[in-house]
Amino acid sequence: MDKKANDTFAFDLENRLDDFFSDALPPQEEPPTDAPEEPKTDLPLKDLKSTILAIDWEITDDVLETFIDQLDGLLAQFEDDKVNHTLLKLLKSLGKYVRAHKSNAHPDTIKRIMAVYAALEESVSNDGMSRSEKENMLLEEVRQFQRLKALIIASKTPHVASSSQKPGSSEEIPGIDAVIKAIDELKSVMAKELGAIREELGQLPKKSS
Amino acid sequence: MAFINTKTKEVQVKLVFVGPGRGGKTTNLEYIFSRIRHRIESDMVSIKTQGDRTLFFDFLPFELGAIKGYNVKTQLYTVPGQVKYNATRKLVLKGVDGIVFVADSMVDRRENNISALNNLAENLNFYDIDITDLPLVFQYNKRDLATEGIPILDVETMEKDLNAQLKAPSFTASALKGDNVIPTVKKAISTTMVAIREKLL
Repeated sequence: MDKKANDTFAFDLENRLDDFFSDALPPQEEPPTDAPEEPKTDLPLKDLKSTILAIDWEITDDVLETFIDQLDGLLAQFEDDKVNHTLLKLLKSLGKYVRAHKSNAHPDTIKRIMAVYAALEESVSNDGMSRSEKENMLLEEVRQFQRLKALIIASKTPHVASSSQKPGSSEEIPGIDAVIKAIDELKSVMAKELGAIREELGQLPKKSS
Repeated sequence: MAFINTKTKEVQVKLVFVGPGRGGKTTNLEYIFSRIRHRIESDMVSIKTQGDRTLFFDFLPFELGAIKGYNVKTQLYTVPGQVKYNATRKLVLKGVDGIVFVADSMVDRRENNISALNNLAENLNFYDIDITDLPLVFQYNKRDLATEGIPILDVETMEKDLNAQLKAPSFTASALKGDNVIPTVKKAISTTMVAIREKLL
């Protein structure tokens, strides 16, 4: 190939690249002024969401530490909201499990984290959702959590059952148990509440049709 | 191998951003996208899951325009850096024309950089590609961390660790701030295009 052709090619190429990338900064049309990117995500959960996406992409110590820290903050913030608080506890328990076992964690764990987060986001941001809908959603997440827990225990992976556990992983089971206990408490509270509602309904005068 | 259609006068070039996990590959692509989004029709795509299989990567296609009468279409990909996703990395590298290796400047990521580069060489070998034959640009990312008091590797050390034999073009950068992201991708595109120019002229 002759040198001249090479030179013009390089020249054309450089020009094209300069043109394409040079004035590329859009004049004042940076993201914040445009449409909000995540309209339905409440601010308190925004950071948590990006951390979960980061975990989904890659499991690192840093990102898991951040995850647990953010959850601690949110747990304090939602202390008075039993549904959100329990969902956050589920997330924390799952996060601690992933932190202890990293890529050896059960493959369904990240999916579960994302599902619990989706439920939390729905519960926090959907004002039209009734309390009982939220509680039903929570119960479903709890069921799925217990299912995963059973799978982890049943699988003969060393991280749950064997004696070759890493130090620190021994905290895992108590952590999960604590959540289960909290969930059981919540269930009984809900059952009581439902009973009270039924009673109240029973005392209402029957509507004539 | 770049896809060249002499009939339609179209060239498709595939560049893959590789490097250790959390090194800033996606941040690079996001920054590039933010800079060119107003002039391209395509969108950046992040593929997270597909059914039960996990196929993680980011994909940013755009048309660069005409060079020597050929309409050049560029596809930028990232691969997951995490060790366990090697199958995905291998898959995304299929048909690669050029590489941007995004190294993490943090001191404690030194070994990760080296492992990731070795892994890249192995994966390219799988496709019978010698890393020394492929257009490659290094980016020493996260230089901005130094201002926050986080210890970072000096450029000489990174060059010695990663680029002593390859002697590829390299840039220090901060993908988060956008510093040197565009020069990196420009260099990667130009070295890749130069590598395939004989087929175009």
